[in-house]
Amino acid sequence: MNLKINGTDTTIDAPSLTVVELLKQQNVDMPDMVSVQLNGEILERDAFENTTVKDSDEVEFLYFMGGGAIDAG
Amino acid sequence: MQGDGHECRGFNTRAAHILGSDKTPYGATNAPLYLSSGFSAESADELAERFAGRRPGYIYSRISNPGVSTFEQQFASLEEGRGAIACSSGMAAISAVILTLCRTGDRVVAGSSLFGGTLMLFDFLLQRMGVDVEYIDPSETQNFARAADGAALCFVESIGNPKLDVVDVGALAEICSTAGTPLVVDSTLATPYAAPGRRLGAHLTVHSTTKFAAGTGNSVGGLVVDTGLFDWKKCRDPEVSESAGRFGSELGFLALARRQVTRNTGNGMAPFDAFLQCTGLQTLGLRMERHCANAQALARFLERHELVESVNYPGLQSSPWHDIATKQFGEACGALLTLRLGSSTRALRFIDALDLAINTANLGDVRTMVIHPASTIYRDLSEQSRRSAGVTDDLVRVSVGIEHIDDLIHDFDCALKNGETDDTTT
Repeated sequence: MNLKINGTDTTIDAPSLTVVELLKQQNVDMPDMVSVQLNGEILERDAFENTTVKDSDEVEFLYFMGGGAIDAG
Repeated sequence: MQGDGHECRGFNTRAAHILGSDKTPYGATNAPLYLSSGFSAESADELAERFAGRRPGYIYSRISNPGVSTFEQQFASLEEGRGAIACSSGMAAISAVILTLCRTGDRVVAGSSLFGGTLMLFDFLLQRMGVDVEYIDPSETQNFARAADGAALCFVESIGNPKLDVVDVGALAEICSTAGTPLVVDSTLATPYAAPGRRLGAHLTVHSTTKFAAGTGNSVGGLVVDTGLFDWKKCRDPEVSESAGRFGSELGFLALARRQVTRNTGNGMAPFDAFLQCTGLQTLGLRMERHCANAQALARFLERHELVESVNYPGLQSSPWHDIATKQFGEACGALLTLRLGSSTRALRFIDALDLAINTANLGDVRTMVIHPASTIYRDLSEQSRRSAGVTDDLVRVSVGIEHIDDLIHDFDCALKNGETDDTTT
């Protein structure tokens, strides 16, 4: 499937993934401290396990523990 | 991991094995120390993306640093919390909470017996900012419930310093949750070893990690932990609830505190202090076990001593807070005790007559430490504040270390007797 992750076109060798699987597949550092938006909607943490990312979805990972994300949103 | 689904739950196991140590450069078994003010990026676009929060990575050590992050993750894990932000001191951690959750016109509800430094922050700086502070005895739950309604936050100490009163955190958390007000608990004296903040029921915990976490008095630090028990989307402060809308209800507080408060006030923890405190944290459980056992034994000895008027320690049956202390903390009732000696003169002479115990303002060190609170930490506070905190002129605060208990008992016994001898000869 083809996703847009943080504005970058990304091809992933799987038809779909849960958000938890996507965080792992993308080697996201400190995944517990990352916020996830799917097609413009913020996902609550307890939905990560059961929310599936599909072809053409737009995903935004938001990292704030490094001190950024001041102008995001 | 053995791959059999066994999850390491033991406190000492989690403390000893540093999170992320499987990814350290060169296979270092300890979390590395990154003494670097700034962090470079491969391109201008990459750095811009970090600032925007769209790429992971560090920017500048005033805001965050890899070694400091390790300490935050490690402590949050021991608190069974959602995440943490490390600060330059315990007072800096309290300030970070206040600056994130309060604004002019707000009201803070605070327990009536607090550490002197916290009282000074509340009485002088918060009042100057236009934030009203209402002090309530946390054991009067009906008054607490009335006051919590509409407050920006409620603040208590799980074990009061130096009153050694013990708050029923679970009961207060229920009251605060009903009122939609976050409950902030200073759990410095209990530490995650006695009760992880999430299990206590606190919404946020703050700690002076200078004390038991560091353990040897070699650095100063503090920390705020979000236990994940408060829905920040429901927070009364519009910026906090807006932050929860952008980052998720669980991360709303931490995101705002990091992005707007510690980033802009520069009150974050220094990398070297984080390195030292991460090292100390690995042995917190072992030290607390000895600290608490020694405190219990010394308190029992002093309670029977003919030259001591009274002893206050939550682990003693005579403490009014013994039942709630043992319910919340089991046998780990902390390492602080106080004794009353009848007069200020006798208290000061006793301190001077001690040989092993050190006369200093610190606590939570492996070495036993004593102080006369009335003439030091509480000297600038009102008579009413002292009374509320249980600070009398004849009170001596003892932070019990990990020395051999026989040596401690001998030192205290000799000092009591020698102090008394001095008293009768003048």
